Amino acid sequence: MTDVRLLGIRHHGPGSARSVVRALDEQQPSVVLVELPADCEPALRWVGHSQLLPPVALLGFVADQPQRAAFLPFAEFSPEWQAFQWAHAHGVPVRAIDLPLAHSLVEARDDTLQLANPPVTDPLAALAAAAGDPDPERWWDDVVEHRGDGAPAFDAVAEAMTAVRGSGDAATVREAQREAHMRKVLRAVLAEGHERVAVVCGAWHVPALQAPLPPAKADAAVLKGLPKVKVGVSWVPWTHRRLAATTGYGAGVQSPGWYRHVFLHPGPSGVSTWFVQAARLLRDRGLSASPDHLIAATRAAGALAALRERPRPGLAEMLDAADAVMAGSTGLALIRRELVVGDAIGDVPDDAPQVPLARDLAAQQRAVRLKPSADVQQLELDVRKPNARSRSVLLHRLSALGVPWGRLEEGRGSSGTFRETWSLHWEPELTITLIERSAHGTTVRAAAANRLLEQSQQASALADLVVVLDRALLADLPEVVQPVVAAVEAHAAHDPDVVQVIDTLGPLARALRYGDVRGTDAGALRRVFDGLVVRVVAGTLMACRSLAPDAAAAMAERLAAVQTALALVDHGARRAEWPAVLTLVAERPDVHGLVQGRATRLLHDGGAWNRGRVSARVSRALSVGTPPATGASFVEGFLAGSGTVLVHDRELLEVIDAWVSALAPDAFIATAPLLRRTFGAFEPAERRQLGLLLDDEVPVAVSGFGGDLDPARAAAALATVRELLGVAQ
Amino acid sequence: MTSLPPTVLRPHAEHEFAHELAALAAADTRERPPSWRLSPWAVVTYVLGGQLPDGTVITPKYVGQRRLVEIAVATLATDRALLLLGVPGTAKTWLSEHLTAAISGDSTLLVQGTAGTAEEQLRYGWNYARLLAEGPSPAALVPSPVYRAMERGAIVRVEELTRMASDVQDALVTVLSEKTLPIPELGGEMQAVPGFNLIATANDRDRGVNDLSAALRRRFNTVVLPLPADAEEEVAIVERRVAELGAALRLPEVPSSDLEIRRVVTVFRELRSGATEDGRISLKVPTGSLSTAEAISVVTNGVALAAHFGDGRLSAADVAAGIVGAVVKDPVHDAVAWREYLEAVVRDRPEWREFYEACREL
Ligand SMILES: Nc1ncnc2c1ncn2[C@@H]1O[C@H](COP(=O)(O)OP(=O)(O)OP(=O)(O)O)[C@@H](O)[C@H]1O
Ligand SMILES: [Mg+2]
Repeated sequence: MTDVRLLGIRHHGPGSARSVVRALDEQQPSVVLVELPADCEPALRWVGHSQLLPPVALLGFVADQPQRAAFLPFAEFSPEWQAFQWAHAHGVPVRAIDLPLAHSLVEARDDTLQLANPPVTDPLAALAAAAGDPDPERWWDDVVEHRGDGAPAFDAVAEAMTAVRGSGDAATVREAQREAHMRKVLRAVLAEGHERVAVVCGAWHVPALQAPLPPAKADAAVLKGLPKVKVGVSWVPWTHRRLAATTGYGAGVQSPGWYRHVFLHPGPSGVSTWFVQAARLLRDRGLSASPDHLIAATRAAGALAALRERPRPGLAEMLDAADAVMAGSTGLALIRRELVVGDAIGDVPDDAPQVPLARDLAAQQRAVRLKPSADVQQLELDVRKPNARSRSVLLHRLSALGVPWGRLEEGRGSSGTFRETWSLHWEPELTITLIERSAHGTTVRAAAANRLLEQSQQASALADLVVVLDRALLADLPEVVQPVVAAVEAHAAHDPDVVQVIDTLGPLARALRYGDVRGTDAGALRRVFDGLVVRVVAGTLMACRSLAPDAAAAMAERLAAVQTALALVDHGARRAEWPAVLTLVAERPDVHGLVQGRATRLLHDGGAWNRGRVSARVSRALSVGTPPATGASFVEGFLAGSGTVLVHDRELLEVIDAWVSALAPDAFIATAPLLRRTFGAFEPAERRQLGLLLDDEVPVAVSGFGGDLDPARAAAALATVRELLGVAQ
Repeated sequence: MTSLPPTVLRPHAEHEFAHELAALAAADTRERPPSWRLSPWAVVTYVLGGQLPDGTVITPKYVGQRRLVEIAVATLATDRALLLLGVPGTAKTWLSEHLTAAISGDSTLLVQGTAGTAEEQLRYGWNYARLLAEGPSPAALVPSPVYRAMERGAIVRVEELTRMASDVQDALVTVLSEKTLPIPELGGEMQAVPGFNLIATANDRDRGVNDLSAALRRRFNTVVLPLPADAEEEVAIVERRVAELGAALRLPEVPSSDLEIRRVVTVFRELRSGATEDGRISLKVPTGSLSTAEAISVVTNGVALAAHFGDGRLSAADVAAGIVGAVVKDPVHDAVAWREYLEAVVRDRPEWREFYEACREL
């Protein structure tokens, strides 16, 4: 009599994993069947390799379209992984019985990767509800996972699933095909004469595999003529964090670190062991955790489990207990990150087949005609030209991905430049980096986008987000721009410091202004920009009050930056709200002279104040009622490092001249250093002109500023200027 | 516990809800820790409300997360002391009174912490007339609430723990770790009966005033009580308390305006959380706590204004000043936050026109 054991598991369930090992030990099967796409079977020859360390994933992809792919992650506590290990240790073959990826990857899907084993929640929910527990995960944990007592658990699971599935019909066509395939392989294995067969599959499928099996003919009909694509399979390193991710390619296992713990430490002592690990972790990071805390936490977890009528503390009780014992400590976040999720990273053998990301990169490199080379190469790009633009985008995407093939030497900083100078250098390490990054996606574009998104989620400062945003724009990743822009908005709102918000306006304005050149969608950007402008308008006056000299100097520059940003996108606030704020800043007595001066200058430049008003304000700043030092700061702020405004405005020049002439000797000595700094910063040509003006001589001509004019180069520029102005040679 | 309560303004929980406690005790078959009148499960039910098999309805006392109440009760069951932390007005005192009433049937063992609280109020004092006449004797000893709770195996409450001077607080260390109170004057000690425990409350915002010493903190499990999770919950709490307070203060009847209460709660919640309810606009968070209790007081003041000076109808103008006063605590940061909120959110809500105008006029 053949002995077929159906081991119905929960994917990534640590209790299932232990039960599987126990059941296998007990049965000693001669073959182990696993719910795994049949075409992944060859990849299992790597199992047992010293370098194949979980968490890892099998990656199946359509050979000529690597973005159509599926990841099958395995952790140490995954029942399937344990089944592989057991079979390897006992020299027993493993057969992959699920529908081959060659069929399941046929359907034209969008670029998003599919998880091969989406967590089956519905049957569990039904079972849990029947047992009166609203939380299916917890119910399974209590009833099955925490028991881990081998065969009887599987009998109970089989019985319960049979009850849930009723007649046992598959729910979808795809599921019918998958189960037909599973039965097909099972029949074949039995026909080979195996007497003890173990089948490790999702609990849901158990009823479909139970004896008596339906006629083989029916299954053959279901599987007949299914369309097929060529598929490649490789191993990739995985991480606990990615297992925990609910979006992207995560498996939605919220607590892989905890599951690993439950797998390694079954039994009641697991509770205190876990708290001991937590305490160690905290102490490593310089936080206190005494044995007393451990005892209290262990007892609290036990009391909570009793109160909630659970057989033993689960993760919720552990975390609640930890929370109560160390409330307010930063430790809890640390525990969640390091112990509940964990930073385990897997490893795959060096000689394992190539990952799709590497294939995609090779394809992209061919497309833009750029060859990786071990030598350092210089590359000049004018991104207005299509091929140069594609090259730039690819290089920027690789930088965003953390694969620094090219380094930008010039043209850095904003998306506002057309010219880029790159230095290219392909080092062998980059190949490895690429494989590591392959968990982010199967194409350069998708992987770069995901990595940037991850960075934006981790960013704690506005400045970091602005960097990510800039990268996303340069790398032409509109799918990143939108969420990052939203994050910028949220951060800006919570940043009590309007100064930080001001600093984001510049990059955002550049992105908006020059985004079109690079073909980026600017709608969302514009909304956020508008929102930030509202904040800046509301907060600037407060931020300008009572500043120390250094802070005042920085603030003066920021006011100018805001004005530039507003002008760059021709924002409405430029004409109404912003001048109103500047007017308040310029007039308020508790604002530093430097800032007042700059505000006045900006009002002048923006045309909000006419000459008369400007010179009235300047002369008030320089009148006897104002301390000379304040007046000097005002002048410094007003002139902003250039004398042009004075060259063009005699009236202003006279106001300043009169003030300097009227300074009392003491006051003059006191303000001389400041004045020197102010006027010393002017171009020599400017100073010369001002001198002539003050001597009442009409300057020869208002020529360029540079001291050493090169007539030949100037002539070239003049030709263009003439053309622009339409004046004859 | 079953005796009829006297007519007082505010009866103790164990009197007001005596029938619920009795029904729970009767229905409760689960194991009770030593000296507990109810099992932990029944205590949780008493606090959060529910219905018993015999049909008795248990009213909810605390409205909020179940897990917090479970942690609190489990803590007390492990005979570790419980510290309830939270911003003002998050029902710390309220919850501690009800927990004590359910567990010990007596919520009157209470020490109110102030800067002037002396060690005797935590340990014991002396009847000096007797002490002088008879010398130290048990009869001359005046027990503190803590002492009496130890004697009876009951729960004692310590309110506003962090307002007490640090050295006074530390008198609790021995009590909590050894469960004994040395009485050197009598050459003896007081040993707590099983069931003795302590619930302390402390205000989050008082942190740093007289922060608990590490030694004392280690003796507590802490539960941080949050502000209400959603607007409905908070509106309900405010409505109920405003009605009760209005009655107690004998304010003339003012038709309770659901609209205004909802608005106060909405403004507070949005500013507290830093985002509008629809999640579309992010906001700066003011420095004030903007708690439910403050919302209660803004509305109560508004009702008083409307009753005495207004047209007897709670209007936007009646609550506007109260709201601004509660929001703008720090003249610089909060003023910016409020202005942004007013211009970016309030102005764009057509049905808030009247309120917007009222705020602009302030
Ligand atoms: N979540 C809630 N459930 C029920 N009532 C609540 C809740 N939050 C606040 N209240 C009500 O708010 C009022 C104030 O609560 P309480 O006095 O207990 O606050 P507290 O946290 O002790 O504040 P303080 O720190 O100022 O002492 C109580 O009357 C209570 O009914
Ligand atoms: Mg209180």
